Amino acid sequence: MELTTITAHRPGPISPILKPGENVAFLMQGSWNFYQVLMHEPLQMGNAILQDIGAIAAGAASAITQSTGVRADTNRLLQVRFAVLDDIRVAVFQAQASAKFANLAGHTQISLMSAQMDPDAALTETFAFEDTHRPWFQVTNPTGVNVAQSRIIAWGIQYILDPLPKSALYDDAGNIRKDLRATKVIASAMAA
Amino acid sequence: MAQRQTPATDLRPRIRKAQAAILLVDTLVATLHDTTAGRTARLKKLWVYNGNAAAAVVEIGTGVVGAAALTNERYPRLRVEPGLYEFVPEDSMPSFEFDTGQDIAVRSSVGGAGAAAVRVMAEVEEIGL
Repeated sequence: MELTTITAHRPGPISPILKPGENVAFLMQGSWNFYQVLMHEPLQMGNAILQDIGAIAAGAASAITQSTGVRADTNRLLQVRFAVLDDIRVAVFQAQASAKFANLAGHTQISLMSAQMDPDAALTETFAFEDTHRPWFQVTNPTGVNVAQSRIIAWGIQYILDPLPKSALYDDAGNIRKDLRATKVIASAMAA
Repeated sequence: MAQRQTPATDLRPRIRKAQAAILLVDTLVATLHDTTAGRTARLKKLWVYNGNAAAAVVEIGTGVVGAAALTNERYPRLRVEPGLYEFVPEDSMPSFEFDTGQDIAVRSSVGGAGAAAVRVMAEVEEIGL
């Protein structure tokens, strides 16, 4: 199977990276999973997926808290971006112990300043498959005053998928079917 | 005193904040704005109301909370007559930039409890991450 265009984190406003009828493959827990896209729909930046971690004392950090808004139903994939509404810094994890946006220097975080350097939040783009791959957040209050609320918003695209059975993946000779070359690969890791 | 360049196009990431007005009940140094660690700060607007019976001379700079005087005055003093207020809008406020994490301190020449307090409020721009 040839790898085709990796389309996550594209600059500009969020837009679907998968079209109905396309195949998508993503790597979860070390194995590839193949699906066909049936349709997609937007997720509005609304109260339903706004999460308020709550009050945080000056200089303190919250516990690592599972997202309550970025939740997908069975056979659904979410492509979301994040922003914060308060003067906080958010470290994203996916899974709970696996830091996203981190390197040897440390765990880079989303803040109010992120939107100024990355206006469309392209660098925050994250994928979540079904409800078992929700991101987790740890919120830090970097200021010298307590904050009464620490809000994180998300928005994006939801894809309704149809699992491709093994018979659809391999030909009679046991080789990967050539038409799977039209498969888009999700580069973003989603650990369990 | 370090002097920073503020070119016409300053693209550094920044946010505006206004902490609740503080009441100066005595003549000791108080914190006007608690600057976030790692960020520099610039005063953008200032509002002072003098509820005292005597004229208040307000000093802005850096200092230790509770001290009798500021460590460094960074702005010219502001005199506010009894019962009156002074408002310094953004286009009149010099863009002095306080050092990283340095709180903005304030002190008044008079103070008092309740209605006799000198009330000060600032809008501050924090620059950094």
